[in-house]
Amino acid sequence: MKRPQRRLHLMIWIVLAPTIAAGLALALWRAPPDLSAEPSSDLADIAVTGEAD
Amino acid sequence: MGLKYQAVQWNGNKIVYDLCVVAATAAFIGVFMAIGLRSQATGHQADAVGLLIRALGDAAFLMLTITLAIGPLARLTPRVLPLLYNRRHLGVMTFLAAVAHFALALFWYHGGGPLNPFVSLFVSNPLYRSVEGFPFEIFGLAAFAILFLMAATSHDFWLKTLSAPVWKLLHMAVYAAYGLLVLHVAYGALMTEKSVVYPALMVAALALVAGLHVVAGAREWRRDSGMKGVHAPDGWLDVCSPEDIPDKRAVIAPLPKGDRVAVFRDGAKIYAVENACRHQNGPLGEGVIKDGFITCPWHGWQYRPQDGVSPPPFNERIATHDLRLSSLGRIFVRVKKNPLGQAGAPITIRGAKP
Repeated sequence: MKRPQRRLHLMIWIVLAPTIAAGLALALWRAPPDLSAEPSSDLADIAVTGEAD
Repeated sequence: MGLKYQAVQWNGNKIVYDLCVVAATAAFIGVFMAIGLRSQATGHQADAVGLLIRALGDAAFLMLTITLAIGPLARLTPRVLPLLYNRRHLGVMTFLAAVAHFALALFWYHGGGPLNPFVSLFVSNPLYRSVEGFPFEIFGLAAFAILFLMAATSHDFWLKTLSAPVWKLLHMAVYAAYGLLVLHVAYGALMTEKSVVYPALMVAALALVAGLHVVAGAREWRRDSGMKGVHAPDGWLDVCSPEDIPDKRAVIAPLPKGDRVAVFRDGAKIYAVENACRHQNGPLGEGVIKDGFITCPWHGWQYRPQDGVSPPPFNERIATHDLRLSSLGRIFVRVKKNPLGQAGAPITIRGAKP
């Protein structure tokens, strides 16, 4: 690669890497809690009776 | 090389390489499916198609991660150069896995309703202002569009038509595609992922690719910055001593205006040529002299060291530089390039094996 190309290459990554990382961090931060956890008692009531109190 | 274009110039190594990549991809998908079906069978009804879609997507992402890591790794260690030689094939395989992932997802999740699947892709989830509910498919679609453009222009015909700098610029969009794919996975699969393994792998993949590019790029930047101190008042630059150059290899030296020159030794003869290959500006000085020709480490393009001309029937040419040996035994290279096709004045080392 020639010098302008090499410099552009580095500049792209200096801008791109934090942007992607921020997007990834936001997604991980806002991800809903684990849905596989034990259901709450309210949810269990709905499942059994078909209606909530 | 540029006499005429062929779809792929196959040789034994490329066939073995491609077979290995196909086998590894099939094995990855098979293992992914087997583990997924086994864990699903204990809970919900197994969704084999959904698993296959994810396996194909993961395979494509993994291959793209490897593809993007090869370039900077090869800048940092020459041992990776053999992988660089066939990187384009890995890129094409990435695209094929992405096509399968995209087509299957489109028709499995959007093909059953009254809407056109492509319309459904955009309107079925209207939560564009939400973070956790954002239609992650849009990221994937944008990445797929870029990968399609890459694949469509990957052939040397387009490289020649667009010119190497424009083609390379266009293909740098693959970095944006990688970012979009990270977001596609983060706002899609990771939103419902129970294990920490998946998010950890995603963070590691991004850190690897971005870290390697920044480290390799910064090293090149430092090299380039060092060139500012290069002076050649009389038009000749002190490069090295003959014994500094390993046989059949080169020493790369910076030139005052930012270009680089590769000074090769072939037995008792020393030659200097410009460092950028005509194909994709690959670093010729990191290649070797093979069968009497300077061979680019990226894709094997060859040039005669005497005059920089490719062997018949090819017709590419790189510029040579004149050389002289000082009374103190130092090699000086003339900064000004010779016209294309003109042989440079070489140096013959006395006492060295021819």
